[in-house]
Amino acid sequence: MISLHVDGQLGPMEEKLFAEHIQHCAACREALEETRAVRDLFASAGKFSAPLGFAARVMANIEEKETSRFRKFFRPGPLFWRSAQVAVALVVITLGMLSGNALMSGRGATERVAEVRDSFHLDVFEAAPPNSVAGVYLSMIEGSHEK
Amino acid sequence: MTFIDDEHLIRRFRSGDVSAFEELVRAYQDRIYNLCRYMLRSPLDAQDAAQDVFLKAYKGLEDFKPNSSLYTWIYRIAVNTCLDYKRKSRREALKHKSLAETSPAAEPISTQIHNSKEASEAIQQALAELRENSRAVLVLREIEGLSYEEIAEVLSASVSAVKSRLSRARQEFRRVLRKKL
Repeated sequence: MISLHVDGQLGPMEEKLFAEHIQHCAACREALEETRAVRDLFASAGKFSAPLGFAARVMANIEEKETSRFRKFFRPGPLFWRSAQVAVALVVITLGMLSGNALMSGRGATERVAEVRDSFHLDVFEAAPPNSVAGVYLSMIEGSHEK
Repeated sequence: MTFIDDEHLIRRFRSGDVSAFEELVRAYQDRIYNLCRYMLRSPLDAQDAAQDVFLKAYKGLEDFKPNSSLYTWIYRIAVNTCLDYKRKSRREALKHKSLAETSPAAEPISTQIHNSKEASEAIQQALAELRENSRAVLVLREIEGLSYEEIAEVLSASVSAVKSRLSRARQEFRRVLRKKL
């Protein structure tokens, strides 16, 4: 009850009862005096401030732990290097294909494809173009027939 | 009691703004360091413990639930960190020294306390001889000025448990002071 009284936590009726008791109880009076003295001692005590640079050290600590956690997770091992080699090979192949397409598209790819196709033209219902393989063959044959 | 806009700070932190955490550190560093000094006494131990408190707060802030205040949450981390520190250093001391050497030194307290520095020293000496739970509740109430409700949140106890713990702690503190004076 002394502790609650010192903290102002007793209700009005409790305070009244406490005050009456204190008048007649020397031991409780002494305990109350000591408790008040302890409160005064605490109230006169200084407060310590965090040392200079404390916050900066905390943040540096955090950054260091975050960095080492990342490095630990991402430590290059044999699997990493093998995967890197495969990735590089895929990139080179892809770049090669893309650049090949770019070259072809710059030099009339459609016409070139058509030329290649036509050179193998063997449709029996259409005359083979003269500069196609079939056309050359036919002209050779016709030439020999005429002879 | 709050020092900063908790909700806003937590939102900023969770969106990746690390400077929000630095603001939290600057807002609470003095209080947390002060608590650690009175709980552990040694300035170096208090510094280490206070650093640990904020590292733990950094890791736990992502999952912090807003049903308690940030203020009492950080104090809870601080009290538990100091209690763990004390237990760890007692275990280390027992491993390497004899039992007689591990008892807290029975230093007399001067009856003449002239200033706040002497008062702090006297309090720290007496607190060092209390049981851990008594030390924690006294520091939170008498040094940090927390209310019964706030102490209950920090210690994860009921308000009535805090009242009886505080009453016992004050009696214990008076007994220690009487022995030393």
